[in-house]
Amino acid sequence: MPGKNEDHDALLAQYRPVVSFRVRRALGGDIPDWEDVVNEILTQVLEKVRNGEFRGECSLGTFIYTVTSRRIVDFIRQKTKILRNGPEPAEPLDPQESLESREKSDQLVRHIRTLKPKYRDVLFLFYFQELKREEVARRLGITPAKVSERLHYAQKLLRKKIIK
Amino acid sequence: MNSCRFRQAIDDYLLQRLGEEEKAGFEEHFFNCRDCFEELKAREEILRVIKARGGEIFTGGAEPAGEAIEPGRRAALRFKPWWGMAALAAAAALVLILYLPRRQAPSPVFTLGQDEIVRGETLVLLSPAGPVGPAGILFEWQPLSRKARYALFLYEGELLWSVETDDTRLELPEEWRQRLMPGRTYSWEVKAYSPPGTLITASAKAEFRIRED
Repeated sequence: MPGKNEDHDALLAQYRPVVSFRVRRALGGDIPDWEDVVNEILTQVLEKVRNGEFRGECSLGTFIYTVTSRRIVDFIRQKTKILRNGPEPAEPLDPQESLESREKSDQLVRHIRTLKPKYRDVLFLFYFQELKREEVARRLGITPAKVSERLHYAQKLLRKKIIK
Repeated sequence: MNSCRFRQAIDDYLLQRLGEEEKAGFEEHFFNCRDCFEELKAREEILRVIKARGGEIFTGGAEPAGEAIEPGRRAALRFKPWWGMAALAAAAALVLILYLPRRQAPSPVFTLGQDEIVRGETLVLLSPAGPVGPAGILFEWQPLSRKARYALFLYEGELLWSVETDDTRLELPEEWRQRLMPGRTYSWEVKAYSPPGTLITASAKAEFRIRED
């Protein structure tokens, strides 16, 4: 049934980024197995959808989120058993990816440096120093609402640049 | 830009400030909300670059051609320009360090702030603690075994003053010492950051009271 297969392909394409994000965040991008885990999750989701285990009682996103979270917990349990006394995982080596990522990162650095100081100050204190909004406000002598406003505006500017 | 109520949670999620329940709720949400997920990815990228290259962005490196940028770090941390006072305070601190016998205050009683976490090494505050005279107030804490930059926070209920230093002792500037009132209790804490700016550890809060003599 080509129609069904296309649906399934679309489903995988739609949810792969969000599942990858969640898995990388939970396991760390330097765990070489993370892509395998993502593939396993998406395969499991497809099987469950095909078998009728997804009955539409919740949204598809919530269903995939649940499958993802369970698989992450299982993976961490397995790995904890294996790696408790094992060596640290090696750094991933993908020169092409590193190069692209470095270029993107260089661009973003340039964009941040071209922001007005009042926006950079907020980014520095809020993201780099991880101070809470109230502390940032205190340091800069402005209100917490103003901190949020500046953060929001800086993010908006940078996001535009990232998308370009 | 949409007005999804979960937008507020994006930064807290990325900075790991959400409780388990809120975190799970937000994660479930971004599996269902494409706008929030796109925003989350963009902000994660910004955060990742700032954390990894913050030193270069905010303090060092060559500025882009044709621009005169005041580094954000300097601007954010600058004092009111009491440079003369600062120099006097530094000189007084030097005298204290070099010539006066070092007196250790008894160990203060510490209480952890409600929203504080301590990761890895512990930062131990040495002085001031308990009742102290109104003269020069010297903050001192034990150095960490690794290179760190320290941020000191002084509170009277709310944050009064903060400063960053590479040293592990610091005299309260005269301008601020004069604002501390006899009989009142103040608390202080120190946070340590690695050279790239990541929080390494935070001390517990210690209290001291200005004697009324």
